[in-house]
Amino acid sequence: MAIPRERRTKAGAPPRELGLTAIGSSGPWEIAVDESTSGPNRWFAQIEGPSIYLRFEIASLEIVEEILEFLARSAGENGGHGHESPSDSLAISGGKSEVLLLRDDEFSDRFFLVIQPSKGPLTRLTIAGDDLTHVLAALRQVAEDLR
Amino acid sequence: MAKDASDPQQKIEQQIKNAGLPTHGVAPFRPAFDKNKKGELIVKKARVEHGPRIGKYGYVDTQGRIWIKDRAHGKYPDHWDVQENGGKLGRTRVDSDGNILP
Repeated sequence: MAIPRERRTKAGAPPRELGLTAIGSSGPWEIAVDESTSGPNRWFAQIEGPSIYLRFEIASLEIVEEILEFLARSAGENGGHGHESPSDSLAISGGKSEVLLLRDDEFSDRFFLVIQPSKGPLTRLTIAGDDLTHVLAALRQVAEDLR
Repeated sequence: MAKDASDPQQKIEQQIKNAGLPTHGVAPFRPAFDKNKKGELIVKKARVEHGPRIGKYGYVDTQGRIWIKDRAHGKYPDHWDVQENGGKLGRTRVDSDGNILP
């Protein structure tokens, strides 16, 4: 017998119920960190923008400060030489999907959030300009909420 | 006045404010609570299991309904789609002032 879509679960899938750990919002952007309330400790990031909703597991709460530091480190335009160093990316996933935050090598106020599940389509979100300003403001509220 | 992070009640009130959930009007959001691993009260969230919002997590109220933010569309401003029975029984639209939208 077929299992209805809403009843299907996978090992390691997020629990149906969570608790709100921290939240921040700015303009049309909202960032929340949720936690499991039963079973092992797990944390999930939820990012919602004007036309996107993302949710993925994070390894620990410390990643919030690391993301803030990574985004705030704007070195200015570098001429677009394509040079890549380890600090040009930040791995932020704690789950099965690979989630990377990449710094653009062309414009200092542009970042890419790349989500690559072990199977399935790749998602790539560009964060730049006003969106970056709002995401940073929302993240600072999340960090404040975690203190 | 600045939030006192050591006061759990103030922390939760600030979180509800940050989320933009209505705290007044005829249909205010009244949070359901759970406890984290430290034994602290936290606002409960749950995944919508039915309907077009399936898969999204929202804020659970004392009636077990799940509040999902919805952007302005059609004749409606930004509002909340309050999912009845996990979305199985449809939803009620509530604006940021706690008014029920037709």
